[in-house]
Amino acid sequence: MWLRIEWLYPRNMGTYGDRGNILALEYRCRQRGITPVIKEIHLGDRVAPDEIDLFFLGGGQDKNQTDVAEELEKNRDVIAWSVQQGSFFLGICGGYQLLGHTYVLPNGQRINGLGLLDIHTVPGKNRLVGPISVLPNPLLKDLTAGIQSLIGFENHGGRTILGNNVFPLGTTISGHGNNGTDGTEGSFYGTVFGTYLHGPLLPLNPSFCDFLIKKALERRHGTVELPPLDNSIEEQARVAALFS
Amino acid sequence: MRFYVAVILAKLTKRLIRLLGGGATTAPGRVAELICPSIFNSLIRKCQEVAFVSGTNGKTTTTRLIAGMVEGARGNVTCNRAGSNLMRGLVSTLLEGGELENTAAILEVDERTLPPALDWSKPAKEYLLQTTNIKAVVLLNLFRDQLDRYGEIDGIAARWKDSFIRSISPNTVIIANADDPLISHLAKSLANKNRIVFFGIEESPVVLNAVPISADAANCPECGNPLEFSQVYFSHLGKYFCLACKFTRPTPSIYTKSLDLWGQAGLSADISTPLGNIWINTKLTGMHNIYNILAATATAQALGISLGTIKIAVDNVVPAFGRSGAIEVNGKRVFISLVKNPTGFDVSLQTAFQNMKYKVILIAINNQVNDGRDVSWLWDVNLDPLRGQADRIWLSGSRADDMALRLKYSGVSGERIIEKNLHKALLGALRDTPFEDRLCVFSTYSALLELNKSLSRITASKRFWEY
Repeated sequence: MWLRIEWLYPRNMGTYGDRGNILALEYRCRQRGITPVIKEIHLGDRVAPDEIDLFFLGGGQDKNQTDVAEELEKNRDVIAWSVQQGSFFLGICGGYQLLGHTYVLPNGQRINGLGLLDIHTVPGKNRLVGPISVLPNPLLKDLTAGIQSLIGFENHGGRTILGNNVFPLGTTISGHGNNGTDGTEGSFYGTVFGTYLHGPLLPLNPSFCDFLIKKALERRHGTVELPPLDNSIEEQARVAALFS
Repeated sequence: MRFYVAVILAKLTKRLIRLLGGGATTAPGRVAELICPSIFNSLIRKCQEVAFVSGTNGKTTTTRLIAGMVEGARGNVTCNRAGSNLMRGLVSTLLEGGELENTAAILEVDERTLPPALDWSKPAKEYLLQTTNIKAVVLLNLFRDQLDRYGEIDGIAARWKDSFIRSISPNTVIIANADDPLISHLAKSLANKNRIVFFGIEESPVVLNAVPISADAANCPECGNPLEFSQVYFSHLGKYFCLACKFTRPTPSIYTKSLDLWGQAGLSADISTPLGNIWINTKLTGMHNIYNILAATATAQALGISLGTIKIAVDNVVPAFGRSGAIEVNGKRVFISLVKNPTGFDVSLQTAFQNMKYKVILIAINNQVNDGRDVSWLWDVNLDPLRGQADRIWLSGSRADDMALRLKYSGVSGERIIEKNLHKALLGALRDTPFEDRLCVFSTYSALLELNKSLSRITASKRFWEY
C-alpha cells in the first residue's frame, strides 16, 4: 500500500520544525509496511491531478505566506477538486491560515486562502505563544478509536475566527488556541484539517498521526487496520511538553 | 547625581552577588538602569572607542577575537566576555570597565537589543554624530533562532535598518557578511551614508549541494523570488544571485583565498585584505568560525590595527567558555558545542563527526527562555552526520524526551540513555568514555551553564564564567 503525500512549498513554509510531521508520517507508515511517497511542490510547480492521499502545508513567515498564497491561487482548482474526491489536507499555522477564506496581515494587506475551511484570520495585538493542550472534538472520537488530547506549542500573531460551516478541532485545556477568546483550537471539515500546533504536531500526537494515515488510506483501500506501535517515547515527550 | 548613585549601588550589588558565589554578570546593570535610565548613554559616551557586534550566531567568539586584537594593539579593552548581551548585561560590563576614557568597548549585542543600543548611543546634540566614538557595527548573520522570543528575521532586519537610519553616525563603519543575503541587502541600502566593509568566503573545501532544509532566507530580499546559489557553505550562506531582479552577492574586500578545516583540531586559512594577506592557524573549529575570524579581521582593520597583531590574536585565541574547544577531565577530553538553532547544531555535528566516531556523546536540551521555549527547531536539524558514528547517546536536560523522539524518527542508531539531571548525565557519560578518548557534548545555553559548573566542580577550576 502506498500513502501519497503532496508536501506544499517546504522551503517557504517550513519555518517551525514542521518537517517533523512528514518524518512522523513516513516512519509510522513504514513500520506498518506502508510505503510513503512524498512529492514536494515548490514555487512555480503545478499540482497535478494525481491521486493524492494527503496534502501537507506547514508554517512560515508573513512574507513567505504571501508568496505561497499567490502560487496556491494558481493551483486552487486542482486542489479543491482533489479534496472533493477525498484527499486529506493538513495545514499548520501559516498553512492553516491559508486554508481559510482570507488572511489579513498586520500591515493591512489581505491575502486570499484556498477557502477549504470556513474560517478567516485577522491580526492580533501580540503573539500568542506557549505550550498548549487541546481536548479533541468528540466528533473525531466517533471516527476512530479515541484520539488522545492534542499537545503542542503555539506561536502565532494571527487570530482565526470560525464560520458556521466548520468544526473546531478541539477546545483548549491550556493555551490560547485560535483567537484566545472562544476557547477553540484549530478546525476541520470533511477531510480538511488545520491547527496552530507546532511541537511538531504529529510526532507528539501519534494517535492523531495514525488517524490521518488510516483515514487517508481508507478512501482507496476500504477498511484499514493499523497495528499499534510502541509509543512510550512519545508518551514521555508529551508529559515533558505539558509540564515544560 | 543619579549617575553616581547608580554606579555605587551597582558595584555594591556585584560585591554581594560575588560573595554569594554567583557570576553577577547582569544584575548590577539592572540595578543601575532602574536608578538612572539613561546610564547606558552616559557610559557609552565616555569610552575611547566602541564597536558593537550583532547577529544570530558567532557574537561571542567574534567579540573575543576583536577584543584580543585591540588588546594587542592598544591595551585597555572591555567586552562582555560571559556573553550577557542584553541592555543590562552591556551596562554591567561598562560599569566594570574601569576608566572608560582610556578603554575600547567591544560589545556583543543581542539582535533584538541592537536597535535600542544604537538609539541609546546617539548623543543628545545631532552635530556630535560627526565625531562619534562608535567606530564599527558588525553584522554577522541572521538565522532563525529561538522563534518564540524573536518572531521573524525579516522583522529584525527591518528594525535594524530603521535604527541605523535614525541613530548611526556617517563615520561609523558597517562590517557586513557578504555571504548572507539578508545582511548584504541591508548593508547595501545603507551604503550611501556609511562606509561598508564586506567579508566573505571566496574559496572553501566544504560546499553543500543545495541549501539545506534548516535554511531560512533562501529567497531574494529584494524581490522575493528564490535565490540561485553557485556555492552554499552552510544554511543560506554562500554565493548567490537573483535571476529575476539581478540582486547579487557583493564582492567582499576581506575574504579567504584558501581554507582548510581540520575537524576538531581547528582550521587554517589564507585571508586577503586590502592591506595585505595573513595566514592564520587556529584552534577554533568549523565553518561558522571562519566567518567570525573574517568579521573580526575586518573590524580590527577598520580600527587601524595592523595585520601582524590581528594574526597573533587569531592564532592564540581560546574559545569562549564551553562554546567549543576541549576541556581535559581525568585523562579524557571533553568537546563542548553550544547549540542554539538548526544551523548551529548542523555545523557542530558536521565538525564533530568529520571522519570521527565516538563511543559516547551527550546531548543536553533545555527549553528555558534563553534556550528557546519551543523545541520544534530540533526537527530541522540534519542528524545524518550522527548516523552510525556514536555507540551510546546520553540524553539530558528538561527536554531530553523530545530529543529521544527526534532520534527515534531520524534513523540514528546507538543506545540511548535518558537522564534529565545534567550533573548525573555528565558523570555517566564521562564514566562511559574510555581513558584518553573523547566525549562530545552538544548543549543548549542554560544546560551549558550548568554543565560547565559541573565540569569545574569535577576539575576544581574556580572562575567558571570567565573560562
